[in-house]
Amino acid sequence: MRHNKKRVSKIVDELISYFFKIGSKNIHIDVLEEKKQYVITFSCDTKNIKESDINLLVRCLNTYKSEEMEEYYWELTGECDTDSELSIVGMMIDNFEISINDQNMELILYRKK
Amino acid sequence: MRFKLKGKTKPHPSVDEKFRLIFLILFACSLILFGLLADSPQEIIYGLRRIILDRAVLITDYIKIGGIGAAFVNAGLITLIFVFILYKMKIHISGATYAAIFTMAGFSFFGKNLFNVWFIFLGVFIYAKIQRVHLSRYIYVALYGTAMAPISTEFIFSDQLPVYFGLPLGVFLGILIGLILPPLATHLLKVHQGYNLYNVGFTAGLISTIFVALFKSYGYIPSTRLVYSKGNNELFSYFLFILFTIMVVIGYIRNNNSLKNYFKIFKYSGRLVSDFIVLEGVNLTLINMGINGIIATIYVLLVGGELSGPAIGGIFTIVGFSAFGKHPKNIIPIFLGVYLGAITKIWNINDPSIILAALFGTSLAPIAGEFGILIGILAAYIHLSVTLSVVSLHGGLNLYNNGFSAGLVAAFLVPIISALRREETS
Repeated sequence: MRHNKKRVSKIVDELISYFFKIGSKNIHIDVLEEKKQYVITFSCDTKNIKESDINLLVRCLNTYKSEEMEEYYWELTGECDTDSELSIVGMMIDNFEISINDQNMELILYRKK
Repeated sequence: MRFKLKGKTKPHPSVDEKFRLIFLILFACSLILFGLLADSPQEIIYGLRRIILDRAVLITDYIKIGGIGAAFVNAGLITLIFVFILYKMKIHISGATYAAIFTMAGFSFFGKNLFNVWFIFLGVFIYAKIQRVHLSRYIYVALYGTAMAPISTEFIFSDQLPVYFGLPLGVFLGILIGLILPPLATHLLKVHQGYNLYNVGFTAGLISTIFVALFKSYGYIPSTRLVYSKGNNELFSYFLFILFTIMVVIGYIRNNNSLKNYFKIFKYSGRLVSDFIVLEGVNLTLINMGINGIIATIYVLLVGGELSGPAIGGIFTIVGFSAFGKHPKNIIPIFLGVYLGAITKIWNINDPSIILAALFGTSLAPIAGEFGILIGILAAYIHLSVTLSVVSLHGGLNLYNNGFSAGLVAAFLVPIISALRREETS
């Protein structure tokens, strides 16, 4: 796939923008390139985050992977600071895990090469 | 708040994927059936021949060229063929699919036909081969890219060039455009940041402007025309209102006989990518498609316009994109903006081009959805002037002329509005 690393960067870009938008103040990112996949881990504070924002995040990430949608629209991710492209991120990843407690959220995204 | 989730939980593909596919097939069949009822098979075959042998530049109404039966059969067959292609490629039927298929159906009333869509499609196929990936990855670009199908027929059926020169040139140009379209279409999304729903229209406008400039420099000047059918409002109103009401009723029944959650769709700006089937499900999306179709048809009738082939094309495109960004809250300001523009500028509100500017101007619906009604009206007001001006740049060879114009308007307006809004916030 062309621009694979750039696409991973765009996913990171989009999610940082989203976490800022929903009120997170402390965001940590870890990107790991493994032999067969990329693992992107985000952790951030949840003090100001509303439940509806998390629901939207989960609903968008929980869409099926779609290579035809990714191929056309991936360059839009991370481009806009007034709206989000979370559903495209959902179509670009193979799987995800999310866990939230009162103070912290951890989100792990898996994208096969 | 405590929450934990591991892995994608949605069934893959969605359980109602088969229903989504059947709906598209039935839609295509309804067009064919209407065509068969309107004219005799002989008239349809003769009409299809006339449609196929036409130059097809903007604005060529296939209802005028080939008759009602042939125009509807042409639209139905193209829809059916491309639904079959998507099915064979195992493409997930989503809001994006509905938008692409309804757009294909709509433009099959004025510019796309069973002959001229394949050259660009072949070009995208070759591009996919060069990239060593399956065509399915570029299928949406291939579908939308047929907006430039007239560039092939312009030369193949040219009365200015001999056939031995025009035919290979037309085929070559179609394939060449298919080859360069995918990288450009993806890249140009960033110019308007997804606020123009007809992105390939913007891309096609840019490509055809450059190509036409080259043609002109060799003395070949493609010209637009206005071939437009009249007098079918009653017949087409029945067909369209029945079709859209059926959509609303199916969605309503499948949504447990209610409109519950329908208004949740209104909270989306509609900016690319707002796939309502993915976000809110196919039932609410069908209700939205039907309602928007009814609104668009009423608009054309209210302003005294003709339900011609291009107008039906515009209405079908709105219906398709009602699964992918459009809802009443973000399209009505566009209608208002074009209406305001038409009554204050030099054109009549019911001129064919103005009707099309209102229908296809809903490409800018995300601006109204994101920045509010007034900005939506302003965008449409500007769009009306731009769309009637830019058509001379590409000589009518880009069928998505309004998509081209909307891309320019969005690229012009969005940075300014965003900057002003951000200042207000700070």
